[in-house]
Amino acid sequence: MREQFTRFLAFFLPSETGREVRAIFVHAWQVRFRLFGRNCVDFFRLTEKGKRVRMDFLKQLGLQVFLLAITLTVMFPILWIFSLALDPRNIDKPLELTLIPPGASFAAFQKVLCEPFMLLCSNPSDLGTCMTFGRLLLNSVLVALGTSLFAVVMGASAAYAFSRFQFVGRQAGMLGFIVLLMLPTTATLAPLYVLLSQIKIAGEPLRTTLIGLSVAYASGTLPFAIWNLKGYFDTVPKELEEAARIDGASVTQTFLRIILPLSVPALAVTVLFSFMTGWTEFVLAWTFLEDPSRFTLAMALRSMQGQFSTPWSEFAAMSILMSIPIVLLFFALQRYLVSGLTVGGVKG
Amino acid sequence: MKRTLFVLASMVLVASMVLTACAPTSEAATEAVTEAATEAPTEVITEEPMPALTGTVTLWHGWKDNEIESLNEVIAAFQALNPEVQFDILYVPFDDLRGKYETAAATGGGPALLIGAADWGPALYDAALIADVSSLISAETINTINPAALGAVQYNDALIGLPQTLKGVVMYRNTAIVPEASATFDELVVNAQAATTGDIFGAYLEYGFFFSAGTLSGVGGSLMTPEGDPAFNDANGIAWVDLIARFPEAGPATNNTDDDVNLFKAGQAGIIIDGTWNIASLAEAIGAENLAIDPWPAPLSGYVQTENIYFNGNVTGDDAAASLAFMEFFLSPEAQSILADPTKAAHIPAIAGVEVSDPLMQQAVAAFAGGAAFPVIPEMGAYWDPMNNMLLRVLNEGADPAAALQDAFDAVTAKVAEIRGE
Repeated sequence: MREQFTRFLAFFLPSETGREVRAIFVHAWQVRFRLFGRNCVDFFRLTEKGKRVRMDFLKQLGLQVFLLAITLTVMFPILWIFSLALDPRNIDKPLELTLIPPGASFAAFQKVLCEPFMLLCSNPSDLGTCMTFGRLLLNSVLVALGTSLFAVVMGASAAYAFSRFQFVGRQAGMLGFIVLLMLPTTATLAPLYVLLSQIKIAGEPLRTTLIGLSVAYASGTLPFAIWNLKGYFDTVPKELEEAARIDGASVTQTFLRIILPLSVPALAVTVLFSFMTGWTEFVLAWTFLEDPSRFTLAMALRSMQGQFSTPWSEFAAMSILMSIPIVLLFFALQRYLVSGLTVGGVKG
Repeated sequence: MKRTLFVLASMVLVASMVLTACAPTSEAATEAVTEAATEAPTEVITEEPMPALTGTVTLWHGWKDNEIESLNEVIAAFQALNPEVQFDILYVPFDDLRGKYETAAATGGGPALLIGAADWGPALYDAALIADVSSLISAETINTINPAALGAVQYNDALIGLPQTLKGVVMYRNTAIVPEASATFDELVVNAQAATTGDIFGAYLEYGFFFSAGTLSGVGGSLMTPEGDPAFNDANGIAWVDLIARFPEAGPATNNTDDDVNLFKAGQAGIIIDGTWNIASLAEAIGAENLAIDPWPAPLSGYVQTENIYFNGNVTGDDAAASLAFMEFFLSPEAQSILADPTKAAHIPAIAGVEVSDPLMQQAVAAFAGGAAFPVIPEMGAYWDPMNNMLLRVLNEGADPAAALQDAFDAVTAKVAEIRGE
């Protein structure tokens, strides 16, 4: 990735390196044109080779059209959001999509980042008690990290037990997790509400704290974490553990020093999935939390959506800003993701 | 390296827990409400509020920025009279407000007061999540309430809340595009056609069920019986659907989209049908001097409804007394005048005797005189989809109005029975 980027930059440089890169680029295209020219001649011949070239061409054309359609489908909402964020008119819905709307500005980003959120105040008559982007961001980070850590720590322990030990109810337990996995988050809202309200820390229900919210989210992500990690642990050779045991390691040491370091891809997937849940969820958060000083970015985004009107420019700007940490985390864990998902996903 | 990472992760976990635990605790109100739930049953307060009220008023609402400014002023005015009373106000997005309240109240908690839609009331009352306040509010206050608004909070011989504002569907006109108000629908068609030029539409009428149902009363029909059984499947019902089917004569007609409002704001639509909650945004978009709210051209009409304050029966003691006093204060001329400020909340008063100085709000009040009362019984939930689908079928697919009405009637009847558990 970095090499490609460096080469891309070098293309525009007047230096010797730039000349070399440009020469390679030109040569590559000359080869392509020559191939195209040769194929182009064959394309119109009524020979067997001509038929093959035509078939290849049609296949390639179909593939390109399909990929173009996919690209447009994916890019359209993203472009729309960017366009809305730059649009100073704050209209409910643009009448047409203009990538750079008239009077485009970054005012919406500035407002979201710098001004207090008037709706999210502990005391509405005192602006000093209103939440800011920074405070919301801190709460979101705490909740998302808390959710990830709960999910990874508890999920890894449970998954290891399910992977390595034989005990009564093992199969039923795994099937139970599948059932939980299929339940929407809101289905567990009422029992979680009651349960977390019963547990109190310093006289305050756990439900109204960020720890309580993280626990609630982790309860939703745990089934996936256990299934994914269990599948991955199954692929780690038992001989490695046996060797560690012969060397005197305990079960816990084997788990912590042998299994976990080998399972980084599956752990990365679990972290990303749990982090995203904690970062984006707002239904449970709006039901559980009652103190605006503990509100999260996702809650603030939801609060912008009004019954009769929504400040679309700020809504779009906030959406973009909110997605940045997730994108960064995705790139940071990218190299683990494919193997982590595929390996954990197929082993049961 | 791996060990360092593990230690680092542990430190982050511990730090997050410490930071979370160190977060300031919420006001005592939440605790008080929860504790109150375990106390004795709600005390019946029959006397005038004592001068020295104490306790905390917890209030959940879904109001936006400009309305919150007015709410702060109302609270300040109340606290000037009752300095010992504390407030714990929480904004909840409108779409989450009812669910959050239901979950909290059903488990013995929740705020003392909830500001919410009129049609939430019956269901909340049936589920015992709000209290009958008929014996808790003074007759003097009840007598000042607009009779139509009072009807929106009377259910099964109980007073399930207090209406704090009137709102409804009205007809907006951009006077720069259509200079004259229309007295009849036929006149509206003529005026709209005359004003249609290039990319400007003389009229862009909304025919979604919520926006067009009031017209059923306008043609002499009735949506339902007082018990909630469908009553629209008659000659008046057909006349209503025939009239709605003529909307495209005036210009494009739309079903539950914002296209009409967007074009109106852009100065490209002369007449639209929309709610009074959009007065401020429409005035800002095209200039208040160009905006008019017309009396309904006969026989068109629109729904008039209220937004209510509900009292949570879980709350007891000083908090309950303070909350009921504040609830009553909300309907005082002083508070209603603050809420009617056109630059802030711009709420149309729900009580008699409050002067409305803003011309647009005056026009809205005049338009409400020809409006139909929005039904606030649980059976109303059975009507939305079948009736809107019926209108879509007639206007988009050219279905026969009588046949479409019959289908809607059958669907509504089945859903009403379902709601009643029959």
